[in-house]
Amino acid sequence: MSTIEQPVRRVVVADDEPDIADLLAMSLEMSGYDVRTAYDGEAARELVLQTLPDLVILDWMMPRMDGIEVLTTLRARTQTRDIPVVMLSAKASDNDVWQGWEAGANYYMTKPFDFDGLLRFISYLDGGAVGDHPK
Amino acid sequence: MTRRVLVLATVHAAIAAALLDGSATSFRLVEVLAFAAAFALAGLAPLQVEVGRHAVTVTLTEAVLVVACYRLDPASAVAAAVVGEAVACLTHRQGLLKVTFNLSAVAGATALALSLFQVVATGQGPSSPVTWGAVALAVTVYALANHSSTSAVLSVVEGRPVRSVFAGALAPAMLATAVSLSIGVVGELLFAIDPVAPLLLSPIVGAAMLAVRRVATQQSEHLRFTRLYESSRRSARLQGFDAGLAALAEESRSLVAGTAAVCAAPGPDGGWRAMVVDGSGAHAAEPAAVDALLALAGDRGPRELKGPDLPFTVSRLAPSASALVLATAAAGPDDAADHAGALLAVYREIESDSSGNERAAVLAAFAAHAGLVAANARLLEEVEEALRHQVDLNRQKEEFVAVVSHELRTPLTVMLGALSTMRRFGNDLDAARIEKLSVMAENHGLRLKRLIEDLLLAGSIEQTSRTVECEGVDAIAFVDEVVTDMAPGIAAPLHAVPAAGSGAGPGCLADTTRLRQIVSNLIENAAKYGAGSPIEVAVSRAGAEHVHIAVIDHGPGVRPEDRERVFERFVQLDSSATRTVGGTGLGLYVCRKLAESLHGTIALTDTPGGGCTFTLELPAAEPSDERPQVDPLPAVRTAPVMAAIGTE
Repeated sequence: MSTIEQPVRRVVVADDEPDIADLLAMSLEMSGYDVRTAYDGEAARELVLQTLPDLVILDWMMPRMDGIEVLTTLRARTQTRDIPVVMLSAKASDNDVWQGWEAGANYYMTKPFDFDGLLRFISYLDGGAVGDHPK
Repeated sequence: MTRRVLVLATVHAAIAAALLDGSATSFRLVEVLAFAAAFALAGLAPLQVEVGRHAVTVTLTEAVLVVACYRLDPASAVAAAVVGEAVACLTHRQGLLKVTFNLSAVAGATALALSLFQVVATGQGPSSPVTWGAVALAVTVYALANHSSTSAVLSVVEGRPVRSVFAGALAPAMLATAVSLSIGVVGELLFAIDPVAPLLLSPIVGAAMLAVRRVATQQSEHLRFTRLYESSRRSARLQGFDAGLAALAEESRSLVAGTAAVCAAPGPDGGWRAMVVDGSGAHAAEPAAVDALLALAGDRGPRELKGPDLPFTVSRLAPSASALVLATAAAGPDDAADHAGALLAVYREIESDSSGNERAAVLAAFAAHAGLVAANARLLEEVEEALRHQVDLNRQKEEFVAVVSHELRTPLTVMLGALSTMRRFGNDLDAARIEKLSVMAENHGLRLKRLIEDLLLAGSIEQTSRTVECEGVDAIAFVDEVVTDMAPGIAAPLHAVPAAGSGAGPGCLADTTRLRQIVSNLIENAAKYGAGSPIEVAVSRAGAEHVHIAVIDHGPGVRPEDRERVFERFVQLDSSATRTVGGTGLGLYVCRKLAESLHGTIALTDTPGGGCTFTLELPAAEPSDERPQVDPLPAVRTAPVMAAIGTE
C-alpha cells in the first residue's frame, strides 16, 4: 500500500448511525480536515464518485448497499481504485476483518474505535506530515 | 371386468354350440357318466407347477380326452367334460363367475377337439397312423384352445396384455400337454387290449403325481419365500414416511396380486396415517377409511374377507373389489391392534376362494417387515424435523448475536467518541458543539440502558429497579400523556382516540412504568414498521372486566402465519429492515411479558384496510384520584431510532 502524493485533506465519512458519522465528522473537522457525510451505502458511493476525496471512512452495515459492496464498487473503478478506505464496523471477528482486507480496505477499525488510532493512520498516509491538532 | 369375462364365456359357448350343431349323436348315459367321473377326477387332482415365473396346471384331462376321442361322439364328450369340470370347480369352491367361464371354456375346447378328430379320422381304422395323428392334433388343439382362454381371462383380471400372458406360459403348457397326451395314448392302447388294463397304470401315475406334487409344493413355498424376500428388500430403503408407506402398499399389492392396497402405520405426530396405491398411483387415505380398516382388523389374525361383507368406508377405496386381504403387525409383545406397527390391506377383484388363508398368511409375514419399515420411516422424519428445528434455532441465535453485538457497540461508540472528543479538543469547542456532544453521550447511554434492560427481561431475569406497583390508571388521560410526549420524536402522525378532556375514561389496573414501557414500545414498533402511516392509540372498554388500549397503524401489516411468531424471542420478520431501524427482535416479546406481569394480554390483528392493530387488554379498575406519575423516558429513547429512519 503506497502513500499518496498529497496530504489527506478531504474525507468522506459514511455510517448509517448519524450520531457516529456526525461525531467523526466533528472530530476530523476540528483536526483540520474537510469532511462530507453520507448515511447509507448508495449515498456514500455517489458522494465518493462525485467528490473523489483523499480518504473514505466506511461503515459496514448500512442500508441499501453495505460497506463491502461500496468498497468493491470503488475498487473496480479506475478513478477511485487508489483512494484509501478505512472500514469501520461493529463486526469484529477475524473472518470479518479478513473479508474487509480482501475487499480492498486499507485499514480496519472495530467499534468502539480509538480516534487516536485513526489519526495515526491518516498521518501514516500523509507520509509523516501530520495535520496540526492540539493535544 | 365381470362383463368382459362373461363375454368371453359367451364366445366359447357359441363356438361349442356351432360345432355341435348337426353332428351325429349316440348318447349312452352310462358311458357319459363314466367319462364325466374320469374328467372330474382329472380335474380334482391338478398340479400347480411353477416353471420359472409361471404357474402351470398339469391335469390328466388330456389323457381322458384321448380315450374319449375313440369312445364318444362330440356331443357326449362335451357333456361329459362339462359335467366333470363342474364337479371339479364346485369341489374347489370357486366363485360363480369363475365356474361359468371354466365350463364354457371346456365346452368350447372339447367341441373343437372332438370335431377336428371326427373330420380327420373319418373312415380310418382305430389303429391307423392317421387316427393317432388325429388324436395328437385334437389334444394339441384342445390344449391350445384352453391356454388361449386362460390367457384371455388372466389378461382381463390382472390387466396384462394378452400376448405376453399367452407367450409366457405357452412352453410349459405344451410340455404339460405332451405328458398328459403320452399317458392318454398308453392308457388307450392298454384299454384296447383289455378294458381293465389302464387300471394298472393308476398306481404308477398316482405315485408319480404325488412325488411331483410334493416337489411342486416345495417349489411354490420357495417361490413365496423369494417373493417375500424381494418385496422386503425393495421396500427397506430409508425414505420419508409417506413414501415408505406407499412403497409398502405397492409391494403388498403385487405379493397378493391385488388391484389396490393400503398400508397404514402410526405417524410422526402420533395418529395413524395411510397411503393407498392403485391404478392411478399413490395418495393419502382419508382418516375415516383408516379408522374403519383398523376397526375391521381389530385384534384378530390375518384373513381374507368377502367384498359384500366390507363396510362402506372400506370398500369405497376400491369399489370393484370382491375380496380384501387384511393383516396387521404388532410392534410390541401384545397383539392388540392399537399397538400394531402396521396394517396392510389388499383389495382383489377375484373372488375369495380356498387359497384365501394362504394369501392372508403371506401378507401377515410381510406385515411384520412393514411394521419395522414404517417405524424406521417415522423415526427418520422425526429426526429430520428435530434437526431442521435445531438448525433454525441456531440460525436465529446467530442472527440475534450479530444484531445484539451491533446494537451494543453503536451506542458505546457514540458515548466514548463524544467523551474522547470533548477531552481531546477541550477549550477549542464552542458551546453549541459541547451541548451537542453531551446530548449525544447521554442519549446513547440511555439507549444502552434500555437495551440491557430489554435483554435481561427477555432472559427472564428480573432486574428492574422498581417492583410492580399496580394502581387504578385513567386510561385515556394516560394514553394522551404518552402520545403528547412521544409525538415530536415520531416520524408518522400520532394521535390518541378518543381525545382527552371528555371526562374520566375507563380505568385499568396497571403499574404505570410498565404500562408506559408497553405502550411506547408498541408505538415505536408502529413507527418502525408502519411505513410512515398514521398511528392511532385507541382506548375502549371490553366488557365489564377489561379495558383495551390498541395501537393501530396502516402500514404493510403482518401475514396471518407470522402473527404469533412476532411475539417470539429473536424473531425479526425482515432482518434487513431491522438492521435499518435497529432492534433485537425482543421488543414484542418484552411487551408481552410485561403485559402478562400486569395480568393482561397482547394480541395482533389486522387493521381493516391493511396494517397492524396491537391490542393490550388489561383488567378494568376505578381510576385512583391522584394523577399517575409517568416516567419521562421515551423522547430520549426514540430519537436515535427515528433519526435512523431518516426524518427529513
